[in-house]
Amino acid sequence: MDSKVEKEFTLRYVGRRFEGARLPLDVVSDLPAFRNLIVAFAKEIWRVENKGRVRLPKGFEQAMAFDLVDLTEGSAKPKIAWHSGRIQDPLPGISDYYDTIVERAYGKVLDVMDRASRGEYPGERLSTGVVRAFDRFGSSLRDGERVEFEGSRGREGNVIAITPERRRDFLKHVQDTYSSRVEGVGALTGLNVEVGWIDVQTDHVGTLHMPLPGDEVHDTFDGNTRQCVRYDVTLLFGREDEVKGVLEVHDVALVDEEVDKAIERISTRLAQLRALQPGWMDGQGAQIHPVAVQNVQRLVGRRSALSVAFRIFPMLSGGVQVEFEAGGWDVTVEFEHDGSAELYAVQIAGDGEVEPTTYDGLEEALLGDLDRIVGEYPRTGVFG
Amino acid sequence: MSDDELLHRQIHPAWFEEGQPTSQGFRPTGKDDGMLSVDRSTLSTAEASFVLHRDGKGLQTAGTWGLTVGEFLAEDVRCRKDPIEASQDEPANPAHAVADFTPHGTGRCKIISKRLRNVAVGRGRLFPTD
Repeated sequence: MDSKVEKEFTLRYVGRRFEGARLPLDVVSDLPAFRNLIVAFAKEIWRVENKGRVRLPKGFEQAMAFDLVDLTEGSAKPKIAWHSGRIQDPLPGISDYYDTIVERAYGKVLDVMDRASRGEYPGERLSTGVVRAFDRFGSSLRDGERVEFEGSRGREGNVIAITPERRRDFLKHVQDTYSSRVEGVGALTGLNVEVGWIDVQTDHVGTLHMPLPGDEVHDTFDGNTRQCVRYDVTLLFGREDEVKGVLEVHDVALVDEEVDKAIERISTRLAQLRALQPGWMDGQGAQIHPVAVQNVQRLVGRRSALSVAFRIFPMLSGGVQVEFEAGGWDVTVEFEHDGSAELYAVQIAGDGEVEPTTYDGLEEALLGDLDRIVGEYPRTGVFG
Repeated sequence: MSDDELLHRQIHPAWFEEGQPTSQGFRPTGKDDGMLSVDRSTLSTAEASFVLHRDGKGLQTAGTWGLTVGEFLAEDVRCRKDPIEASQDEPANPAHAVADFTPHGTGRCKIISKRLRNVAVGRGRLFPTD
């Protein structure tokens, strides 16, 4: 009789929102996606080794059951285990066979990701199942975050990891599309109560056609055309990063009137800044760079409740500065012309200071530090 | 200059929004060599400083804000007289003075400028008055 074997895989989610062994619920869906990735490769391996056989052996899917067995710090490290005890087929040696298939499937995942990190993509087409699984895995990662395969080592000695950029580039090479989660604000431009959809016009991703239950469209959105809407959706993008459609609506809600006015005011202000000509300050001052404007718009989308207090100023470098008071602090976020960002603050009624910290852009680390400075505020409570 | 002498600072209209100036207006820019230009209130008024900036120098301004020598000093920024004689490029300005930020690095200047801005905003715009 086979001895029971267990194989463990540890993923390391790196980013501020994962600190303290936290795994946000919108990222938990990565774990079944990881399982599906292993299974998809396992099926490929089995088919290669069993040419001519169309059907997978009985109990194959059940044997590919994985459990979350631990979640530890660092930032967050879910440990996922495969256990041969789930195997129903009592044939001699079957546990060991599945064990090697799981091991090799994991090895293929690592190999594909390691190659992708060097800009090498699979020459032959990956199976639909594999590509679909890759498209799910890591789709909730935000800029500046990554998933490391703990204990892995790439050809250059690095720990193999998935980042949003790497994932995006990989998917664009192996298929025509990729999916990614996007948050922001836009204007409600159309709806249909009977069919059940709303259209939201956005600055960055065009008009989003979102399927929703008809009663939700009726109760929440009907009669609010042109109102500001906050959205959190998974979008399907094409090779040129064009939006092909909305895959999933995670959250969509009307923004309250005060925030709506603030967003309109900021939009007008940013348009003014974009119109500034080089030398706008008595001969000094570069033209405002679009990437800086986009970062401000993204900040408004991610922290719209705070935007009521935003004051927006051009920077001589071509960047855009956001200043505001919140939580007893006077905060500045500067978005530079090269896409980088800087955050600093002083306590309004005290000596507290947060010295300038530089970030690659509007990344989670910046938002996390911002939240720590201003403390609790109604990040979502203002939404209907 | 005594610690309680008010120093006038002009703020460009692009650096003025929602009734408030940006902290950028309270630290030197790259061309200033670490010296922030101000005008002494003992030798000029907030209005005269505004008019000289706009009409005399032909520069844009949203108004005059004020900080005392002591308020600069509280942020470890020393001020000194720096009168300007008339030239082809610039009219005379005997009230001109500078606040010296050179002991501080770029990051520190940003923090200081926020504190200075808040003090100046607390005093209110001196000309035109709100």
